Amino acid sequence: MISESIKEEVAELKSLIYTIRKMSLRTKIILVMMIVLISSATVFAWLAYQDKIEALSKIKEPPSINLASGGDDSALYISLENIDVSVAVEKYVVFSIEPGKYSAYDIQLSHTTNIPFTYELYRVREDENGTIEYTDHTRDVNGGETILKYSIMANATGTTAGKLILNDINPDDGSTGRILGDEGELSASRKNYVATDEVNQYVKPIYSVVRRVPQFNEHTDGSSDRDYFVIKLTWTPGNSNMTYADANYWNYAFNNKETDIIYISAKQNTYEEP
Amino acid sequence: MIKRNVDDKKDKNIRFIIIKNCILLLLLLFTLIFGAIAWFSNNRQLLVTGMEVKMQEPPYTIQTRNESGYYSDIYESLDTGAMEWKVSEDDNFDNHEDDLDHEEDEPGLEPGDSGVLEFRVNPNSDDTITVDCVFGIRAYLEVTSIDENDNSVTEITEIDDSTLLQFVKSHIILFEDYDEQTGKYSNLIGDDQSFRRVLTNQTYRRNENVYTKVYWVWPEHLDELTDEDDEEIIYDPTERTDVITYIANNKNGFFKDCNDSVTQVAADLTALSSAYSTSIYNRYSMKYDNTDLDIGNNVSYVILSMQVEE
Repeated sequence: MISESIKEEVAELKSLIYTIRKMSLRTKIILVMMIVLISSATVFAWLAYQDKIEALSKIKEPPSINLASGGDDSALYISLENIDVSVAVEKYVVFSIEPGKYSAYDIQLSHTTNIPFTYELYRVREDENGTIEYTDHTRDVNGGETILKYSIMANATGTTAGKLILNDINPDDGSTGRILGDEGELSASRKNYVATDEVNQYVKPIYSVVRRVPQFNEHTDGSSDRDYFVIKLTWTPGNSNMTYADANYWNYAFNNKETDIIYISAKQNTYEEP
Repeated sequence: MIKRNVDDKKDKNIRFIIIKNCILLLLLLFTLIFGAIAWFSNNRQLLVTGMEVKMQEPPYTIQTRNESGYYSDIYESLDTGAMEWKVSEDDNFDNHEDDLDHEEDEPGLEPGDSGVLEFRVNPNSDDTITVDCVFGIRAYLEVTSIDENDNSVTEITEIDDSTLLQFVKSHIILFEDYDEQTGKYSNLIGDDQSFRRVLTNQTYRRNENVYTKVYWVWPEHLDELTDEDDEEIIYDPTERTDVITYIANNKNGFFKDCNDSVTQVAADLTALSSAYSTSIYNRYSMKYDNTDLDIGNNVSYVILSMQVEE
């Protein structure tokens, strides 16, 4: 006689076999594969553990190069405003670069050509007897303004009497039929504010660059010491008797134009002995 | 009588089915147990009481130094399934706690860094073993964000941008040797046909205390690889051709946005290594530096792996 417990087992087994039989061939294959995978997965883990070693390290953040204004001021204070071309012939704009770990860097200027300014770049340092003034807004702990003085570093490495020679990337010279500020070639409707409120919408900015300016302090440990520079703007003032018809009229500065934009950018480079 | 016979037959059939299925179940159970034991047994010894299980011994054990890296917690959390490459103060991947430049808070890699890692493959039963050692690079990005409860959540994800991985792989150069007298690296570990960096046919003797050293270097400036002055380059000048060919073949890893052909890059770098040219150097140097900048801005962690292939 079959005992009661065996009977129960048989019934369970029968239902299991029935369930498996009822399965489609695909399900059966999947079931077998899963069993094989489960039993082999642990073995694979062991093999992988054996044949590979790995070293993990952190990548440090790259050193940064920052532009700032004169003194201890941030770049916010770089300003070219309030130039009256009829009372002076030059203006100095002080700015600085924090080169961090970089031994040298490139400085690029790009500017629009509405007003016929000439742009020159000089290396300067703070100097009590200097003639270039800068109003600092940060150095005074009480928030007052400090007048700082700068002088051109005539002997600085890589300069010509303190001047960094900017190489024009898209030069404006006679050979290209385009002279700085010259609008004579343009049709009247494209001359700035001549006919009506028209402006020269096709004018191209001028780019110039000086490469591999060496870090003055020669720190490469990431200190935030600054290298100071000035942009020297010069112009030839026109007189009130001049008209559009005069030769080179466009190369004279008048107070009838109000906007030019200049971009200063700095990028890391490496210093090389000249 | 007849009924009893029928019952007997039924009984026998059912018993047979039960026994057959029990055997199958047992077999499955054994397979599972054995698999799990293999995993627990790790590498050398296997002791199981009550029955004797003889395992096929793994043919070798990779041996490294004893100390965990500075970032071992992060490594563990990545759960890569491989073994941590242990380091020491002198042999590491800039991931040892004593390896701090410029009094910084934590160790790490940046252009201009170099070092050495070492390992050996110890045969477990044979006297010698000859294997290939394949080096790989993986990179991870760590992103910290603020969740809905204003808690900062840090997530580390593997980088699959092949260009960025090429940058990291190329700029961390591997050499087999370094001469302390001359300060020059030699025997560049270049790519094989599958673009993998492999040390082929490395033979190790059992329990012989000889480690394979891998010198890694991340040159800060391109001229350390291309300068015409033998004194200025970081590697043995007799290997100039090998190194320049390697750089040219990996131009997209060495130089960001390099559209020149491999032939052109090889020609330019060869020209540079015999006579300096500002225009050529600037063109490539800028792309080399931009690559470093991309690595620094987009990669948080890097893993150098060594896989043994028999």
